[in-house]
Amino acid sequence: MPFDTNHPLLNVILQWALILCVISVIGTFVGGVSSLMGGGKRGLSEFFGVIGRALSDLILVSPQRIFALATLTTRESVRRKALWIGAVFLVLFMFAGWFIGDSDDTTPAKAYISFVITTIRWMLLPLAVLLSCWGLPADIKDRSLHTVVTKPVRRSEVVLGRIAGYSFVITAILLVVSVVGYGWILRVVPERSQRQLISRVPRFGGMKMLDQNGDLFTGVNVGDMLDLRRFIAGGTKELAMWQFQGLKESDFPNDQDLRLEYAFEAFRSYKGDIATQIEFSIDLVNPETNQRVRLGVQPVNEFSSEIAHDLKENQTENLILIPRTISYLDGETTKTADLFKDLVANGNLNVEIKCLDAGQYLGVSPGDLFVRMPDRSFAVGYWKTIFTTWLMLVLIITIGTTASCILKGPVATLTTFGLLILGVFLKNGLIMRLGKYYSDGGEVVGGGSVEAFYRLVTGLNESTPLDESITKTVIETLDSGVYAMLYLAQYVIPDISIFDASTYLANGFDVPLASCVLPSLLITLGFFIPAYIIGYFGLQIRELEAK
Amino acid sequence: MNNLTSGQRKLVYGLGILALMVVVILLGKPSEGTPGTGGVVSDLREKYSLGEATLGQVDPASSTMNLVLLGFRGIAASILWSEAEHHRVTKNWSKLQQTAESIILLQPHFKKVWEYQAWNLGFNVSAECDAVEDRYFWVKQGAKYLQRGTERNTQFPELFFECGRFFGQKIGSADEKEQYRKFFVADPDTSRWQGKGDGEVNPENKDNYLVAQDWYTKANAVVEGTDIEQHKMDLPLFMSYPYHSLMDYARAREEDGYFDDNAKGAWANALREWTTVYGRKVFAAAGNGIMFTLEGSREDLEKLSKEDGQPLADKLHWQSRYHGTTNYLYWKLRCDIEQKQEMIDARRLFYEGKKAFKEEGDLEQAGKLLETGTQLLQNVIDTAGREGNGNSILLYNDEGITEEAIKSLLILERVRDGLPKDNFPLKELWVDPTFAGKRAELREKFIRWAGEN
Repeated sequence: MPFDTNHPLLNVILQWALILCVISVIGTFVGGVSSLMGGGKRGLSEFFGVIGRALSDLILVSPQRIFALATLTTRESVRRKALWIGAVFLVLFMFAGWFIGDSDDTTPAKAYISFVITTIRWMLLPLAVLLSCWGLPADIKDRSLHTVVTKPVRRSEVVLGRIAGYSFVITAILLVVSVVGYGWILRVVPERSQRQLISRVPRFGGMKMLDQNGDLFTGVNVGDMLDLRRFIAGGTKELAMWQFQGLKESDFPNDQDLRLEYAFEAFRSYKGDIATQIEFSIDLVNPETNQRVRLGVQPVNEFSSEIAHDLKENQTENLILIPRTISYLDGETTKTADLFKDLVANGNLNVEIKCLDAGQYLGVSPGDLFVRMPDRSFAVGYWKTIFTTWLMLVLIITIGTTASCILKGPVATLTTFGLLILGVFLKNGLIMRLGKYYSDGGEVVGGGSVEAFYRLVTGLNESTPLDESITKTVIETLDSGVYAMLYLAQYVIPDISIFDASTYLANGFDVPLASCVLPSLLITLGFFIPAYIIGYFGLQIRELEAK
Repeated sequence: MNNLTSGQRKLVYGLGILALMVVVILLGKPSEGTPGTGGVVSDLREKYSLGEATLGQVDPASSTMNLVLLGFRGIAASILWSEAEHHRVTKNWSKLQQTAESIILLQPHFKKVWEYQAWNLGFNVSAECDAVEDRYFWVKQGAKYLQRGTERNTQFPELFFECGRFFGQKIGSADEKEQYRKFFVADPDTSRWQGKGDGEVNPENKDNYLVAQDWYTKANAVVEGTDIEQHKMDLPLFMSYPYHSLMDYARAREEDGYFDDNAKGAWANALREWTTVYGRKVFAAAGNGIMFTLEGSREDLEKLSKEDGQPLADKLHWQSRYHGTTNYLYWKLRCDIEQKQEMIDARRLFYEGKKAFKEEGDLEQAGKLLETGTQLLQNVIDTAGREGNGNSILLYNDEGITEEAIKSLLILERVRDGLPKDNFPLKELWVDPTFAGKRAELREKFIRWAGEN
């Protein structure tokens, strides 16, 4: 559930444009040279004629004709009973309540939200693939496309009309099931979990840990298998510090409190007083003047967030409310400090956490403390999630339609499903392995695929180094070529996991623009443009007479 | 067949289908509830208790899921088990609970699922939380899970027994027992339960040990008078738990500081149930089926011997063996002793002495109270008698009294700057090497409890 993006968006767009330009230039060059070699000057002239026509076909499209083709596509889809998928949804929603939740009425909203979004995604996804991959081949088979292309219609308009038509059908279904899903969530989520239907807006800060001497350290591992959090010792000078940036007074109108939300973990090295929770102190520190205000002591409330507010009176989750004017003790005297004038310096604020119980430990990770900006309604997060789902479906339709312009129905379906599976399940693994390969300087235990095959055939185990010979050089060169191909391939496979905003929504967070909505939009657009061009050329060279 | 026309073949197929249908209908005819009213299959199902309904309540969601999955139930269940373990390791408790719910949809009649996942929620997850209220919440979740297991599987005595253990041992013996016992009758979720216990686990708002007794009794009811076996322990031990719960209840009341007639009544009730109900149950010795009762006199066993033809000597032998196994005579004596005013006074003085020491800081008063209390307990011990080797019956058979007495001696040692060198009440607990380990353990706990560490 990332909230920040590793790549500046402008750089990403420029990189994409550069790659598109390079491919276009290479394609034009190769096409031009082969035309020249095949047909001489005439061939070259014909090649540039095709390019010229393509440019005009791709750019000078008629919205009316696209609309007409989209309408035709929609009617076809309705005729093929695509809307029946709605009935499947109805059945699922009718009986889902049986399978989610228990006799208790404290089932978290998370389960219901995940169910709705997952169902929408995985029911519409195959529909989008099948509709887009089988539409054109079916038209070619029925010869209806033959009738279409005899009319004054550009092939680019056929591609666009198809994409628009299928997108319209999917959008209509998505809208209906989303509205039903939204109503269903509001109705079935138990009353006590309704407050979890919220879109929190977090602002995270960088975290560092300081040891007893004030030096940076990585914290203690208490033997937890899940090494998500590192621990600081209680009753010592060890602390965890969060550095928040960009805090503006205008973000908290009407003297709203600044809210800090936390989710720490406690580790007891001895039992101690079991009736009293491990506690931590929280200090606000001005990063420039070092003015320090102790906010007091808080119980760790480990793993309480989902239930605490139901169990304890006046417990508003794990929130620390910081008023604009803070009263605090400085030695014996009570002083006051203004949050934004005295503590926030140019939008920066440091927050220090220390565990107070000697011999006990407090586990922290960077995401465990954040400034909770004013909340948004659940509907905002929900519809953003639906929007990213819609973008994913449009992307699939685009890829499917393009594939169907070149390939027959079954092959197009397999291609699109293959890309999808790669995008959903394998892309992250591929990126991770490639990253490791290049960070290790091309060293990998057992080698790449060619080396692995060689070792298999010769019975050589993976830890024995290959003899220095020409064979080794050839193998490593081939393997580096395979890795280079995979390196390029990772950019051709769309990262479908980015479109999944359900994790944010189910955990009560707003869907962030920078790390989810915008990347989803850019991926869809990024694939749409080359897919449109490829689809156009595919349809140009395709034999439209049914065989 | 090849000589038949298409119409004739269809007729043959139709007749074949009809014949098979008749057979299927006859074999599978549903039973009307009494033997012999259904078809062969339903009678056999009834006979061997194989029907879904005979195993417990039928959950339509579970049945639907199993039907929809066709033959893939095993694979789906395995994936869910892995997922549950993943959620446990990654501390995603709500997901773990959801996955446990999904597993029981697929494996509703697999006893271990209920036991394992209830344990996971009630013991492993609860231990991860730092706030006692949160721990109690997860203990309840585990208990509720098991309770549902008993509804779905009315023929597993072990599940009823485990419910009893949750409410008896988990709530009553955990480190947090003081808080848990209070929460059991006054749930921290006040907005929902209005200051009473969680109605789903304690609908009658009773003490946890009395609820445990109910569940142990239900477990006994499953095995009594039926062919159903339990696979936990020897039957006389298994069946003693409801009666031990009554003793636990009486003891816990005193630990909570109630020394009125009700305390005496609770012990009297425990003794009555122990001797007149549990003691009168007829058990069969493991391995040879010799029938006996634990409370039965020689005459009773003689009468039983005449009825079943088994030798009286064998009955006496096995009764004696099982007296040892169940510690029957000790508990009988204990229930009797605990009702005596001297014993109740001794316990009251220990309670008040401890309170004066810890809460009021009145060391002099604490010393006086505990000295009187230890003397009273010494009198009770002497009255109860000793075994052949001179060991006290009360001190050498159960840790309950021993712990209480050593704790009092530790406080006395502190407030009097040491115990007298020559003689003092309960001295055998202080000098006998048998109790050395217990003394060291309690001394360590005492140091932490007294706030000296």
